[in-house]
Amino acid sequence: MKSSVTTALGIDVTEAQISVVLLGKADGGFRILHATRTPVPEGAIEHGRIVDPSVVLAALKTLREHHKNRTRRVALSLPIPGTLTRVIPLEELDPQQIARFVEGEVKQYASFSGRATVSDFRVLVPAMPGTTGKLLVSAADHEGAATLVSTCRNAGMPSTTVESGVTACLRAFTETRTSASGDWTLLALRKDGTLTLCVLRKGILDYIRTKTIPTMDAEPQDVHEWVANECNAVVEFYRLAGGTASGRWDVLVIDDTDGGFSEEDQGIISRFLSVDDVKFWTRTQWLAELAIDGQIDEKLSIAGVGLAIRSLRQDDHGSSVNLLPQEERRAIVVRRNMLLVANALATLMLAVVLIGGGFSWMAERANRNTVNLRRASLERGDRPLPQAVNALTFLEQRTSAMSAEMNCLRRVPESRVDLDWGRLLADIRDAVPKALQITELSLAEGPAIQVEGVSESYEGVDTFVGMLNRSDHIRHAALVRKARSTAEANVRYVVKCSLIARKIR
Amino acid sequence: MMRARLQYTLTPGQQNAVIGVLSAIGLVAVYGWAVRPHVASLHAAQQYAWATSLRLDLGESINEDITAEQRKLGAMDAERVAFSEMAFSPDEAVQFHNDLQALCQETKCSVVSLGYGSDENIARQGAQEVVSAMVVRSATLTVDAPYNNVVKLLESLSSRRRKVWIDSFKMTTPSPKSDCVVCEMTVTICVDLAKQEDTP
Repeated sequence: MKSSVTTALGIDVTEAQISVVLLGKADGGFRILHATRTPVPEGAIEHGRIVDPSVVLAALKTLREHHKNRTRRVALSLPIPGTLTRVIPLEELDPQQIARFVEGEVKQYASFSGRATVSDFRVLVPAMPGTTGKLLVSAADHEGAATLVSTCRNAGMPSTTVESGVTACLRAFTETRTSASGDWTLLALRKDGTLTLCVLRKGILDYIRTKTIPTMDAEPQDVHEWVANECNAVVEFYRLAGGTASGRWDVLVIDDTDGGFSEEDQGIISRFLSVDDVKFWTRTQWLAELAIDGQIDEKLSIAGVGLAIRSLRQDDHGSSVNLLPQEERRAIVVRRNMLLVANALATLMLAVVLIGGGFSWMAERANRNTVNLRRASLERGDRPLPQAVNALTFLEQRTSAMSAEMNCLRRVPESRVDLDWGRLLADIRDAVPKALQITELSLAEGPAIQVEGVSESYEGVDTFVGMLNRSDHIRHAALVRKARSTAEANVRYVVKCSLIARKIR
Repeated sequence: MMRARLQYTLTPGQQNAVIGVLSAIGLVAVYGWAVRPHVASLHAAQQYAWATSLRLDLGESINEDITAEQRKLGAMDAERVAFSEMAFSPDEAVQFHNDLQALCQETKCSVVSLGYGSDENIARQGAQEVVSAMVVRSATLTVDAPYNNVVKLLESLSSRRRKVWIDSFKMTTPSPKSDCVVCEMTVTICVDLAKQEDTP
């Protein structure tokens, strides 16, 4: 799985100094973003335990001020004298049995007798039926580890990973270009006043022992000779133990201290070692083997780099034991859960506020629209609905009644003929020739009038009809009948005139 | 002293279930206490806005109808006023009928007969039940006069301020050598019983 972490902090705590390394990811490797260290006053940390936490806290705060990065990936190493790191044979197959087995093994060590411990393990070679496996066990004094972790947390650098400086240095070694060379590799790590000897068989950890370097009344040359003898003893042990260890041995002496082995010291150790190839890594030399960029402190802590690498690498197959006390693990989980809950609550509150605010705004807008509608209605002079309905009902009733009355009223002139009788009769009088006489004039349907009379001649009748047609009040005058009877000499006629009615005002 | 200590531990699945149930309860509670009142308020406001809009639209429509009715009523009122102008008031109608004989004498027409008909309400002319103060009043007049005098009589009837209709007309010559004609006519006027006396 690819890690999403881009920066990590490694805090290497020894009895003499505290080193901090801020490491970032780079293309194909790592990049040192910041590295610093500060000495620890003598007596503040003794035998791997913090005696004066306030002094350590002040030192950590000083380091904290130097780097501004707020990475949450912090790994912490415990002083080697206060820890136990061993590779022990494994016969158990059940993981729960292995945990009990480790607990029992740790209790057997005199340095932890009577005290609570924190321990972790990692199976290096799994046990098979009939075959013994290998188990890496790491343990520390619970109180010491808890004190250091809480001190780091109080300094603003809460660590999620705690391990021994030995395993941190081992990880730094496995990251180097020469880590996998050779069948047998012996690492001799000088750090924190101790010498740790590790044997790697084809890159897999096979043996670890830590011993305190004797300093009382010892000359430097004697110490170097002692280191060489310890290495020789381990190699000899392996050679005597079985034929497979008789191959090529690479010995790497790592000095993770500020002083480091001088060339003269390295010559002394090489002279006393009974192996062919011996390499020496000091804090200034080993970085050439590591694919790492950035401005490098000459005295960069190897364990600090190893710690930071652990946080940056998710696929760490090295010694990934974690000595973080159980209560700290729980506290981390609780803090993380509380943070999650707080974030969730904050998000929920924000959502509620936004949703509530949105709904309130929409309701307010709806009310505003309603008020505007009512105001516009009032400005138009619209009546209130009940009054409007009453008024409309009244008006409709009145209109209906009046309409009915008007229909009747209209029928009065429509059913009658409005004629200009004076002009009409005057026109008829003027149209009568001398030889013609009107005997009867009556109003007929149409409107029309029927004129009957006698004439001395037919021509007179025709002239009369022609004159009637010239009248402005007669639409058309037509001769209905004209006849001369045998008894009379006159011609009797009947003329019907359709009339032009006056327009109704 | 040994103390028995009970440890309650939950598996990750149980933890997730507890968190899920608590989250669901919390969400429901938050919805009920914080969101739902706002939703209800918004719903009420929208319903109120919708109802108000509907009511105002209805009111606007009714007001438009009122305006249209008022316009129609105004037009009919004007028409009725115009009709009322040509109708006689009750006093005028009485006076007109009383003056008919005098009018005939003015135009030198001899009144042969003069009969008054009864009032006929215009509402009876239609099928509808109409209440109206307008009635039609007729009089039957027969005169004996020269043709020109009859013309004058008719002209004086037509030239009145109120409308006078001649519903029937029949003019006959009694003898060929006579200058006079006998003229029968029905004179009809409209009377507005509700009309007050106009100043002449």
